[in-house]
Amino acid sequence: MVAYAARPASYVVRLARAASWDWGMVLGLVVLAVFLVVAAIGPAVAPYDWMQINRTDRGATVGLQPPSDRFWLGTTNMGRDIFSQVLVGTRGALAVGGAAALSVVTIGLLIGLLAGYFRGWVDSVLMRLVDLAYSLPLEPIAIVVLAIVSRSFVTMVLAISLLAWRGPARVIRAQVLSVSQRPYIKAARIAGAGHTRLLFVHILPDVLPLALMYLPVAFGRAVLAEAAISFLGFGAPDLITWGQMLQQGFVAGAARTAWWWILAPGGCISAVVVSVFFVARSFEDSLNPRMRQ
Amino acid sequence: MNALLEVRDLRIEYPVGSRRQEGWVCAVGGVSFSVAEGDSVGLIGESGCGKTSAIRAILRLHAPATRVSGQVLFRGRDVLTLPEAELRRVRWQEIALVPQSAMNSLNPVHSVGAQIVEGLLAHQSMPWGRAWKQAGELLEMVGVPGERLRAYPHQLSGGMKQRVCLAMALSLRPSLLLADEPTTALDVILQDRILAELERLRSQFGVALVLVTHDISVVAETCRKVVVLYGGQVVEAGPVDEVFTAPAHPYTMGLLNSSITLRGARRAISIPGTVPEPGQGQQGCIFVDRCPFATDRCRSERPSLAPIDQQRRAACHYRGEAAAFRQRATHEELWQQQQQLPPGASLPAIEAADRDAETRGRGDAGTSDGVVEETGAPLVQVGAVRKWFPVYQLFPPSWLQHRPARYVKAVDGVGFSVERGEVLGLAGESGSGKSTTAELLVRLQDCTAGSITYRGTDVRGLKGVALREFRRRVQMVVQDPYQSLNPHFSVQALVEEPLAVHSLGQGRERQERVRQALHDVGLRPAERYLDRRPHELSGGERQRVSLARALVLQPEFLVLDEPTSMLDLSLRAGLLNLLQRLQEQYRLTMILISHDLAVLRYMCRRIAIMYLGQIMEIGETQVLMDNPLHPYTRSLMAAIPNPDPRQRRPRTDLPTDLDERAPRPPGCPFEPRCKLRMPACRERKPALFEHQGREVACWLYSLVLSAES
Repeated sequence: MVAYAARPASYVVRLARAASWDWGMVLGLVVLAVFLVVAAIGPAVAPYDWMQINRTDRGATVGLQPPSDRFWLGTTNMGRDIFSQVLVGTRGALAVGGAAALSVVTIGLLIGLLAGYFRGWVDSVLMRLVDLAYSLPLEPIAIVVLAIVSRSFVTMVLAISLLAWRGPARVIRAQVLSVSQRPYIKAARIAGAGHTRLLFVHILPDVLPLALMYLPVAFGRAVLAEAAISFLGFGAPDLITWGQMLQQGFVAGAARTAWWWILAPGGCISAVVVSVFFVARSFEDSLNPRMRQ
Repeated sequence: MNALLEVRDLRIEYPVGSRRQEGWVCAVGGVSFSVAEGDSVGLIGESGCGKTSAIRAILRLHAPATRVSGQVLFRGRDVLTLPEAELRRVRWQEIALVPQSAMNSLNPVHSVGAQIVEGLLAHQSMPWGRAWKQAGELLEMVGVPGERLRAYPHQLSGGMKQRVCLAMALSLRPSLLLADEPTTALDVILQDRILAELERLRSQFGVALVLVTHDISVVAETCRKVVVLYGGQVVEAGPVDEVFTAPAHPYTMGLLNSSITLRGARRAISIPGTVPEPGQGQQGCIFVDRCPFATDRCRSERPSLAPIDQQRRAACHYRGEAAAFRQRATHEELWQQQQQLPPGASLPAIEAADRDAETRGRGDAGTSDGVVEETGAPLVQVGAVRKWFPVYQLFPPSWLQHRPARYVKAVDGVGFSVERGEVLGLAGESGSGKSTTAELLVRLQDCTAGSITYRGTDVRGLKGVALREFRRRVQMVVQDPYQSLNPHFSVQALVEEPLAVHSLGQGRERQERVRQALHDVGLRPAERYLDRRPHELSGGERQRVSLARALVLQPEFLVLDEPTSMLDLSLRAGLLNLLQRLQEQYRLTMILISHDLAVLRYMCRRIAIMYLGQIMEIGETQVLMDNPLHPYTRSLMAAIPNPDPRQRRPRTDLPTDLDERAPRPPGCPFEPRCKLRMPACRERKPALFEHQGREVACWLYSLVLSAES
């Protein structure tokens, strides 16, 4: 029996409260906010076009320049401005990550709900699908899909989501199994509520926090996966992302010499993934107060 | 006798507000009582009166942030200021605690023997083997066979687990045992057996006992002294015999009024209102808002706990007039008047609304039943219903044999019928299949075999529109009021949901129906409750919201599963009276499920006694209660505690706990526990047959058997 002292505060309020004392959360949120702003306005404020080949006054390309006043993060072997590439690439990486996270959590939520609620053969079939998804490696399969279908933004998102939903689906199913045994679900059935109502009005609100908790986790995972796939050269050609910058640096054979070329996108990836981890952890604490003790 | 434990002016305050401590709430405000060596003291009061807080503070088990003042003298030493090392010795070795819902405090991954041994070795140095042997003896002492030491908690029944906890508490031979609601979650028979155990331990080993409970009958039977707590303060204390026969405080009178007994045809009266929230600053008497005798003096001046005679104390300004109060306290109207009125509403207005509702109710009943009623066909007919749950085993695999390893027969051939407008009671211990039967009736589960017809149509095949219509007419209130309301919903949304599901009423009209339902169940004025959420309601209020949800559809048939098991006595009386009124008002047909025959006697015209999924005896309440035939019915009746301390009754005669998992003989399911069993009982299963105005399934009364022999 749980006795609440007061009406449970909304997620937002609880999140804000948790953030006010958890430095990891604050740091993570600030970093993420900066990246989001960059993703929004990056291309507009970039000092150069990211494709533009910069030349000296005499017309020679300024290839492999270390950071300087003119090129804050140095240049590529083709004389392109890395700072501008990072700014533009942020949008690509975060867009892929965000879209993939959303679709992963949505798919996982739906499958978890259906499997946990209907049980029986529906559950068996869906959970064997999850087992199958778990038995396959995420990135290689995504690469195969990209290679077969097409190398584009949408395919990239779908290819990552294709297997990544397995985690949330399994966890949400477990929660649904427990929630649907609660007496108020029984009471709702007696009132005459149908499947749709039970699923989306009674059970969903109880598993939604769990699904939301998966959002940052899935986001971080998707950003990493995208970087890895792009680094291997299967990224969308019309899209610049951090992973593709790494790939170009690697292909150009500059990975050992031009540290700035690797450091800038690599650092961005690490920063995003680490801050997402911090945020997710605090998120979990605030949505699940019992774990705090 | 000198005092073993003396609690002096114990005050317990809890911090409010999460991190920035915004203030203190007083849960226990200056409680004093003493327990003599080998004595038994009952601490009673409704939920939220500070009983548990007080008992935990005696062992210093309160949360670290709690502010505790006063003294808890155990053999002259103050437990509250003892150094940590000595406290450890006092805890468990001198004072042991059986916590609330103790059976859930066992660790599921260790055998119960290991858990008892752990406690023994933590306090005494002895070889493991000896500790194990001693643990076995302890189990025997509380009535559990010693070989169950190796059992894990899930292999034991609720009563056994409770006893294991008792054995653990007794393992170091403490001189004081604190038991916090030791029987509240148990059915009457288990309760009786545990109480008998406690009593025996006290007389055999001289363990002093402090028993915390909300059930006055339990205290009346097991304790010598009683302390009545209200709102964190002692309102009355003294020897049980005197306090319960001639209570001096109006609250004690109210508690006694609200109890129901097997014998008395007396109407139970609930105390209106609820326990004040702790910390509500108030200068007058703490009970003033609910007291029918309150005067201006009570509102302005707090009465102190003053002696009446040598042994008794009461906190009431009008101790001297207690005799006159007692006389008047038996009148229900007196307490009703006291019902707190919201500002602006007057009593006549509410009564007028009541009358309105009544006429409307009759109108409804008239139009819906009208002619059909006269045909006399039963509304619900249940014929030889079975619900068997298959159990599969891993080895040898069940699927190889193409059938389950065995079945759990939750309901095994139950048949009865319910007339229109009738209230039928289903009684039996936990595990007798009552709840499963209820769920089969409202089609929450499908039965394995047999038939259930409602208004002549088979319930089992209902689908789509027909099922929806069935759900509108047949409602059920599920067992646990604390979990049967969706915590995310407001009261408004909760009560409106059934209407929304069945698309009944529109806009204003629907709102009106919601309000009417809330009004009907006594949540008045409805507006005050509409925006609240379940966690802001008390147990009684939640149960009423559950009921309102069922009633808002104006059902014909209502199944209530243990509607009172989680409620305090006063709330229980209130709910039962409410059900009675609603039943008369709307001519509802009801099935009421309870393990407490006193409750059923109060409510039902007919009662069916169930045991292990079968009906043992069924008949008119009066006939059954006056002359129970089946040995099981007699045991159930004998187990109900009596609130009158002058009347002693024999403890239950059932030698063992009900074990649903035990293999059943082919004959009568009750045979293994029956004292009157005959050789034939083991072999042949008795069917229900007419005998002395009721139906009973027992060979004792069968002519067939005697004719054969």
